[in-house]
Amino acid sequence: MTAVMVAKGLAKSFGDLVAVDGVGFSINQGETYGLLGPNGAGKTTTISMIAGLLEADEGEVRVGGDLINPRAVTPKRRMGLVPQELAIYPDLTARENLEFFGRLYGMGGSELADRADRVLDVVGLHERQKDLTKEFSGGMKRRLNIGIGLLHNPELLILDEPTVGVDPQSRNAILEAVEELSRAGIAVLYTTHYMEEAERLCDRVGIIDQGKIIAEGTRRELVEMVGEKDRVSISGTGPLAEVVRQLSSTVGVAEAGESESGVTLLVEDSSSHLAAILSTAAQAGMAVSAVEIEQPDLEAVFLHLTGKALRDV
Amino acid sequence: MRNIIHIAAKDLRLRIRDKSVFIIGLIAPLALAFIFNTVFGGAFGDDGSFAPDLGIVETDADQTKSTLEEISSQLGGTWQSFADPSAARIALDEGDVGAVFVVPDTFDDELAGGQIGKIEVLGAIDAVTSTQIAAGIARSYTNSLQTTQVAIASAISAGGDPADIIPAAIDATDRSLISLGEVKADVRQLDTNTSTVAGMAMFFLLFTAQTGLLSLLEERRDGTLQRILSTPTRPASVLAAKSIVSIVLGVFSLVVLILAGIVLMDANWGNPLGVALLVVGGVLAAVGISAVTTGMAKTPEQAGNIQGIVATVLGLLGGAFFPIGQDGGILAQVTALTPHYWFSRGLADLAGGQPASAAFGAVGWLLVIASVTSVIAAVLTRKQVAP
Ligand SMILES: Nc1ncnc2c1ncn2[C@@H]1O[C@H](COP(=O)(O)OP(=O)(O)OP(=O)(O)O)[C@@H](O)[C@H]1O
Ligand SMILES: [Mg+2]
Repeated sequence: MTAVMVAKGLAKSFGDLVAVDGVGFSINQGETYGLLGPNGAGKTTTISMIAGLLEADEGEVRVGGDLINPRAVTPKRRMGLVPQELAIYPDLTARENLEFFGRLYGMGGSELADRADRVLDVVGLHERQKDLTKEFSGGMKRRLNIGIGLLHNPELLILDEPTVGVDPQSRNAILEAVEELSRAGIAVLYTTHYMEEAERLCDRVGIIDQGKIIAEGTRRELVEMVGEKDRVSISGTGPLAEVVRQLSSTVGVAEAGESESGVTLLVEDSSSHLAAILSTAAQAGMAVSAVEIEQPDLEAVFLHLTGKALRDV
Repeated sequence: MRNIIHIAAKDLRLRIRDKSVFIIGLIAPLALAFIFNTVFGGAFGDDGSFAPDLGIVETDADQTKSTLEEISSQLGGTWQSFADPSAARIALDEGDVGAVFVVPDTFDDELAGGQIGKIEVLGAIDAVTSTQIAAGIARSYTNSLQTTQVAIASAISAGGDPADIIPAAIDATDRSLISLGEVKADVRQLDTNTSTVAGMAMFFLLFTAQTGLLSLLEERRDGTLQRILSTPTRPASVLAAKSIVSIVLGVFSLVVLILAGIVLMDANWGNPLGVALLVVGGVLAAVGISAVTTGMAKTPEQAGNIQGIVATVLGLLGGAFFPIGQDGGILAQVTALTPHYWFSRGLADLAGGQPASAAFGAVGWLLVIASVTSVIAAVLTRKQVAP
């Protein structure tokens, strides 16, 4: 696997405020990397340094081996940025917006026309391509905002909270588009404070808080890193005290107890131990009616790491 | 760099689409030309210069009288005689005449005694230009007599009859030299209409020329500037594109204004090449100044406000609203720092069918203003294009 983007020791302060404090990570070809963190964590600041919009106080960014900073010109061709705030011209049509930015990437002629058609399809705006974007709904503007970022077939697509303030339908369209791009082999850097999005899209996640990446890995790795366990609730009848006693000594079960409808267990890696657990319960005389597994999510990981919720909803 | 063209083309397209090109480039200059025509309607002579209506109060100094008449008639205005100063004043009040010479009866005779008398000029309050021109003629005439006087004195001391010598000597003064050289120079500086029209045009230009640059701050506010900078585009290219749009709009609006002046006011602005150079110099100076004000601002609104103040102050100093600084002194020096002054000076220099080269000096100073402001602006706007 070759790394498309490597960031090392990035730091940025605004006056006394340390916005980013030693952030480093890399993204491989075809990989979707999520930066997950609450408001003000430093996601946009980090992205701005990676996209070469902001001079880093410390550290360096390389994309495809080229050093990136605000003075770098040609290496920026490798990247497509979808900024957090809408950055489109309301008095240009969807197509004109695409064509303008396409030209800045050196595209033109039929190549540009074909790519614009393709992108308009991907973001579902082909029918509305000739309309001024000021007449668009919020979700349509967001989709165009994303479309501009992928027009020139970048090696690395950077999306900064692309689904904020988007209706569920557009949101789903956006997530599907990102999944498709990822399948096509594009490296994606995706920031969000929605952990469901990070869980759905990202191969690896970096959890960022107060300018630092406090944990990084696949979802499974992160969950294990903090030692969070799956909660398995088995509903049923029988000699529950005996069932609990036997399950307590079953491999993988960390805790077991009686509940209203049956027994509740805390299990490490429930998927590999579930079969053994259920047969133990049956042998102990329990008639099982339902099983429910709650896996710890990144929300729980974040809570564990920082002692605060990812977002205050 | 090709992206400069792409950005400038996109900006022009947006300006056409939001109609601002038509307002700035067509409607505003046409309205301005119409106002000029109403206010300064008859002011422009055929060659863009001014033809003063002058007169004289009857005097025994016949030689001087006929000389003044001859000089004045070369300027193309009318010439009248008045029986006495009070008759002249009535005519002045009624606007029948712009300025009147009062020559002492003894003026010619005193020359024989080596004395040069005083020629007075009565002026109408609303014909400042005519009055100043008349004063200029009187001044030039008495100055030239100083040299003549030496000849008269030596002729008399050689035993000639003063009654023959004096008329001959006055007759011998070089009138074309007095009138056309010096008086025209006065007219150039004093034609208030030209300077007001030129000053207003420059005042207007300062707003036109800001349009392109202002969009830099708008794009910054709207996030599209950052997006442009995330593409392979140099910050300097963005600045260049915005300046080009400002220059294009500025030239366009000024050309419309000048053409409208020709059609509406029958104005003859002078040698076309000279005027074209002045337009380019004036627009570059206005764009430079706009770039400085844009560089000082954080938001488009703020830039607009600063520009309003700067345009007003420069307009006042540059004589856009009323003539200023023609009598030397500190204001005269300050006014020379404004593009308004040099633009109007350039037009004045072209008046009377002068070749384009007559405007080179003014164009040069406009370019100096443009260069100095551009350097300042380059430093100031560096942070505007920094993301
Ligand atoms: N230009 C700036 N000047 C001063 N402070 C800034 C600037 N940009 C960001 N900050 C501060 O840096 C910190 C990190 O901001 P950043 O925008 O990177 O957060 P974020 O993770 O993107 O948040 P959000 O989820 O709200 O977009 C915040 O405290 C913010 O106030
Ligand atoms: Mg952000």
